Amino acid sequence: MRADVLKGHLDGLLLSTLEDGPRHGYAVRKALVDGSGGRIDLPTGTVYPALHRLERAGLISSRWLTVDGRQRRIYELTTDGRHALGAERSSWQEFATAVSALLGEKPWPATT
Amino acid sequence: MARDDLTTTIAAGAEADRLIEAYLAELGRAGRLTPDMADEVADGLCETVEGYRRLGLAPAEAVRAAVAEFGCADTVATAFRAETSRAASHRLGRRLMVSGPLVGVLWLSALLASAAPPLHRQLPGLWALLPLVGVAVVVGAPAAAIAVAASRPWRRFALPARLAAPAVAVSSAAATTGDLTLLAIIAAHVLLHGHVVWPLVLLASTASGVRAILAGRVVARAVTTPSSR
Repeated sequence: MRADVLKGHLDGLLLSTLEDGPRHGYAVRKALVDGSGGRIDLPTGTVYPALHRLERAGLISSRWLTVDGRQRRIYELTTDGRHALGAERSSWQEFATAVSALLGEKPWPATT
Repeated sequence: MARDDLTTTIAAGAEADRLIEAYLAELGRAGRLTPDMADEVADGLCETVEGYRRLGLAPAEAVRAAVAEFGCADTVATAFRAETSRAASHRLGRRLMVSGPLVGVLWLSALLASAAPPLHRQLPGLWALLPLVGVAVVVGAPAAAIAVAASRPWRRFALPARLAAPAVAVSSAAATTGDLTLLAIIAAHVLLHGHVVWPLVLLASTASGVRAILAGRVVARAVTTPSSR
């Protein structure tokens, strides 16, 4: 899936990868790839600026931990982030229902 | 034989290190990364390399695969630059929105207390430039509001993020123009008439001077730096 197709949805997708608990940047990207069955495959390096933007918005927070002797930045959802994710999810479901109603496959009209 | 294998492994490891360093250096040059950002990217890159190593790739091959997965340095640098530029625009826009009314109140107090300008006749000398300050406010205040709204990290009120940097540059230019005009007017007034309420005038002049320097730097950077997006 191309990056421009994701425009407008990336923030919600990133928030969803942190729903189950804190992750570092690479794990967030991996969760996006794995969770989408490989359909969403962004350049890893572009995930970090998006995470920084969400942190600036107060939707996620980060802290540095030492893991296996290496400094690692871990991200987690804030309370505002959980609310935003819920709102994104509702909005997406409404949108998807509307689009599916129009673009979804319909049975062929019966001919006489 | 074992020694040959070890030498090959060490050489491959050194090649991998060199490739990682080269990528990070290129990214740093193109993206003006902060140390925190560079550390985070380096950690992610090492993690990716280790992932490919576990799949059985040789160190240098693993680094090449990891770099390809990470995205070329230009793409990643552009993404970082866009975010740092948006964050800076947001910060500067807010500072301009807050400092505008403050500087305005300081000047109003200073001028009213000093009985300036001499309003009983047509604005004399440099006081004729006073309407320029009004133009700066009319242009600068909405531009600062646009910069803040367009650079919000979440829910941008449908304002495109690409407006943020030009808007903050326009607002900074307006603030610099307004501040320098006021400083020039008050300097001429002091030279010609001499009497002002010095504490208030000094306070307003300092506020305007500091803001003109800071906003002027933003304008200079906007003029000399190519757009990141």
